[in-house]
Amino acid sequence: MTDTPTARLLLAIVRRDLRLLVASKATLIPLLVLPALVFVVLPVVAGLAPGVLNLPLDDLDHAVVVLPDLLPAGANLPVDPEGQVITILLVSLLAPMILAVPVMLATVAAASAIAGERERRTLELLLLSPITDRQLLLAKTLGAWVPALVITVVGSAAYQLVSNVLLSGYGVQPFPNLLWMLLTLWVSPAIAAMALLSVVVISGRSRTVQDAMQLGGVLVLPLIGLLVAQSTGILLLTPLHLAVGGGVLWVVAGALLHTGARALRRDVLAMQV
Amino acid sequence: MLLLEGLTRDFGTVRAVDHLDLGVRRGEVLGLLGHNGAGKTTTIRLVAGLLTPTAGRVRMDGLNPVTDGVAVRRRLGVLPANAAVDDRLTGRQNLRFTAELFDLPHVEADPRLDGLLAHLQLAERADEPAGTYSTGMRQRLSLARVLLHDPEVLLLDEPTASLDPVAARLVRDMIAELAAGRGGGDARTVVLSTHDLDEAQRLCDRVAILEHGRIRALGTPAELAGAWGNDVVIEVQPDDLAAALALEPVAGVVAQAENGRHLRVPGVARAEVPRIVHDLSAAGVRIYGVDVRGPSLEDVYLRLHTDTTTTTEVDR
Repeated sequence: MTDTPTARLLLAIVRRDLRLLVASKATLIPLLVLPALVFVVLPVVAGLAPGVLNLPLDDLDHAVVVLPDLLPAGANLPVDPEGQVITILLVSLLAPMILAVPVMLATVAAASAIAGERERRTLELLLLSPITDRQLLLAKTLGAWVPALVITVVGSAAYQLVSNVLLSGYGVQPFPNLLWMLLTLWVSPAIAAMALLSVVVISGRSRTVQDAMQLGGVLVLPLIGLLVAQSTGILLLTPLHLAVGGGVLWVVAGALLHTGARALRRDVLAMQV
Repeated sequence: MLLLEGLTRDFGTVRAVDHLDLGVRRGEVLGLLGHNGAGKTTTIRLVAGLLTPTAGRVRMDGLNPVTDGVAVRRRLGVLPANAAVDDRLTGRQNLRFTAELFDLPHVEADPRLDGLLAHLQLAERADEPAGTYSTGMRQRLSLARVLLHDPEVLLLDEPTASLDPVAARLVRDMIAELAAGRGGGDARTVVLSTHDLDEAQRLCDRVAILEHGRIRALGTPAELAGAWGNDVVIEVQPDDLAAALALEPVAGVVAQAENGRHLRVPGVARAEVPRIVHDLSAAGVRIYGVDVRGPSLEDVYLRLHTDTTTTTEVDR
């Protein structure tokens, strides 16, 4: 009998983790509700609120003058001032929100990765199988990364579609654009990997899923800061920021994978069973 | 061949396993007996490579569980104490997942899986979530997981602990069949940790009694019992019981009164029985019956744990 190829082992564990994820309403509901709020409800509210609520736009005149420079290349502003505000809001100001989604999803999914196995008393069964420590870490990471990424990419596409529909009335369709492509396909996967590897490592040391989720929740705080910075104009994300920032996040994720392999040693985990 | 050489494991200042030397032959059933905390589960975890020894080593057919963990675990079937199954998966899905972990192709896994479900009387509810199973059914499902990849060596930590008598018998019969190589396949090596002394006596070729991580006694149940002598129960006239007890120096053994009319003389070699009967009779004690009983494994176990000085090594 030869060693089980890594890909098949990983697939077996990832498939089983996804099955358990879908079977658990406590995990599944946040995984679906949060993206629905961010990717569908938020752009609809942002797109319709100024018109429906008849908000005064005079105070935003200054912003409308400054912010067009921050729109991605090729994204035109509509002539209508209300359309201009909505476009800037949907294309630029809300952009950091998309990063909160993979972090939150990865936190929810990854928190149960090791701590959940321990809670269900099934960790020992995995440790007794012919799987290496690194394969276990990879499998647990992928089991959380794949759903987080799929939901983020699908959600981002929905956000862009909804935004284009809303803005079509003002004569512009700013999506897709480089900023959002980088956010969705470069930064989101990286930040999801970094967040969930942090949580998997934390989860390896937490007795319960709740502990792991609480600790993992701390990871969202820098993103809230980024959102505030973006909406107040302190820091405005550009494609260059995203390209560099994404690269840094991938490096951090790689370092965490290395650290995680040491932190999640079989004998350490077995002591906690 | 499973070999434990000077195997030692410390947890902080506590020594859980203390220089264990033990060899288990292919096809042999070795019982690990001992109180809670005697080191049984730690020994099993060391053999499975879940824990790293503080000193000493384990060898399974030349493989080291620490450095050859994947290869060792492929050959091993381990039933942990309080084994759990995935409650949200069905019984069949639990087994399929195990088959995938051990890289069993469907064509090989499916018939084995169906056979085990049927043998362990789980077939009817195989497609229901394991969370709906009784404790006994979950234990049997755990056992099916352990056997699915047809391991050469079985490490079973209290396999019948939560089973009703019928299910426990089913599992014991299965262990005996596996060790004997009946029902196809080679004879399996079995290390069985149990608190059930009757189970150990019936199933095990040899028994190791552990205390504080050390072997207190090792041998076949018969050898261990033989080393501890027989119990002689003598029915006497109740009026003579006090006189009989006073004859201890004559009989040369410590006797105990039992039920007001019996005299129990423990740990007696068979050759001593006529002399004891003669001494009692010569002292005028009226004897109505003599029953010579070989000690059970339970007797040996209980005596070992009340006698902290003796170490019995019948066959090490």
